[in-house]
Amino acid sequence: MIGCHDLSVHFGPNTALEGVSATFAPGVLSAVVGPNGGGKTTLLRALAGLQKASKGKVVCDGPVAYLSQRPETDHRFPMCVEEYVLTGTWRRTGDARRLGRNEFDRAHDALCRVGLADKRAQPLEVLSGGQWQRARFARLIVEDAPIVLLDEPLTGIDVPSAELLLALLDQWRNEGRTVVTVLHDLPLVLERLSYVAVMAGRLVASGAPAECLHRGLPSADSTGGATYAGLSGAGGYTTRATIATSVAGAAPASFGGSARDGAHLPGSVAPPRGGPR
Amino acid sequence: MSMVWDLIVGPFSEFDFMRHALVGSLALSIGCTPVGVFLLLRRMSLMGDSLSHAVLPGAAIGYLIGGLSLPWMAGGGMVAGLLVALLAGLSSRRTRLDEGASFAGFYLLALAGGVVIVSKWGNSVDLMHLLFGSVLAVDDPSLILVAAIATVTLLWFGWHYRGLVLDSADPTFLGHGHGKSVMRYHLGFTVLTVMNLVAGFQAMGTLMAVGLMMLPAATARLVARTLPGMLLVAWLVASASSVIGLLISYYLACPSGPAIVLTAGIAYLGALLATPGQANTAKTPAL
Repeated sequence: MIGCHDLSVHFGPNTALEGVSATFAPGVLSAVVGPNGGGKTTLLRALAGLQKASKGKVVCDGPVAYLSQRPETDHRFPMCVEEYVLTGTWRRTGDARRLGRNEFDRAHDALCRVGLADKRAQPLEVLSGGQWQRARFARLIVEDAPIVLLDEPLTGIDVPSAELLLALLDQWRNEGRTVVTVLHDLPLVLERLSYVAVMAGRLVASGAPAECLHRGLPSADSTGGATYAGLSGAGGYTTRATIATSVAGAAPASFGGSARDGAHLPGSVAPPRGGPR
Repeated sequence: MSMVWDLIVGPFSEFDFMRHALVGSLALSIGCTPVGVFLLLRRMSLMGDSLSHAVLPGAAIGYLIGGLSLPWMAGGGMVAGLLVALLAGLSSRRTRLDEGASFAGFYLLALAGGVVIVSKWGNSVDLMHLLFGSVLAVDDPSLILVAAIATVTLLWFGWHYRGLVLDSADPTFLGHGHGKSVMRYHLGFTVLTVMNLVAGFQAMGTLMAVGLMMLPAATARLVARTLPGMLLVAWLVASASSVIGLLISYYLACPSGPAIVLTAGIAYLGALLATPGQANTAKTPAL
């Protein structure tokens, strides 16, 4: 579980977030949507502890993993891909504790899973943009945190990478983790996620995607005007049709089925509370 | 063969001051090179330079109060260096100036203040001594100070290596989560940088102290591919430059600090020429 009470963030005279109260339950895939400048990233950064709140507080019941919008790692740092993925163990090992065999195995499995096993010993600077995102997913797997915050994880990556992440999300949901992700692809949110928080400087709506998103997105100035942003599909994940067919066809029924069940269930206003955790 | 050996070992076996200079600069090489490597990787190469200049007014005031005594000058230098680092850090956090601009502002202020203090109340010989150091005048207390600083540096790096690597490569990753503060890596590293510059300015002077820090690190960045490799190469280059530079200064009767830095500079130029075109292959990804 992670959430915030009456959270406000100001940057000088500018208000990025005003009085946001939200709770994201474990075992649920939650989305944060909203127009550009709506405070989505600020909300995630505040939840991750990277942004100090001007008012209000953040509550969480476990370690938090955070995937920033853009890779903020120094690409030129003399480090190989495996070492980068192993940095995900930091919370467990810290400065001095030994890296055990199982940590190396975990990193190796994660690299295989994201298809970067052959790049294991390569320096970071050989990775392309999409490969970077995959390496970051691998580190998230190694981090193994009960709360995962993702900021536009699908932006700028190809279909297989997107599928990989969606499969990961479903796995994490089934393992009872709390997953919060910023997305711009509203059809995807309607289809695959079961809770959504709509942001426009403040929390405009929250609940089941079908309930919250039928009118489109609010405008950024949050005056409540009816200018629907029509952002669905913008921001990267535009090849949704391909995914939808592949999910229906080839993907294992375990997550494909449950995802569709969750997404198409009408009227499920409150998110299912109290997952396995 | 034995004649060459005599030429190399002779000056050190014959003269006490050469032995002192050798031990001092080898100890400096141990402490300064990891600091230099991480300054370079954190893209703070010029911050080292700024801080080395910032040490001057403190050392000058210490010199005026206590004369040419180590505790006063080193202590004054420490205080001035840390003060400039603190003020520059604060101003880059609180204003829209970035770290480079803040450091430039404060170090120029400190440098000018230091030169005014020395020329008003000291004399030009003092100023030359402070600016250019005198590795041949390193005495026993100075050696102990330099060795102590090198020891503390190595212990700190050994203990905080992983965190410092993460703080340099990926500060956002280190900062997330609601755990304990990670400022200690940045603060500790800044303190160590100032300490090593203070150790260096005794021997090399405030203008040259940063030479033994950055030139071996830059050479290593060009030559080595991994971080441990970089640290090793930087240390080897610094140690070799110390020995060769001291011999050059002995045989050509030139100032020893600049001779050491020049030797390291030649290694740097050699690495530049030997590894052409590598920058082009190291493209940053599109994302």
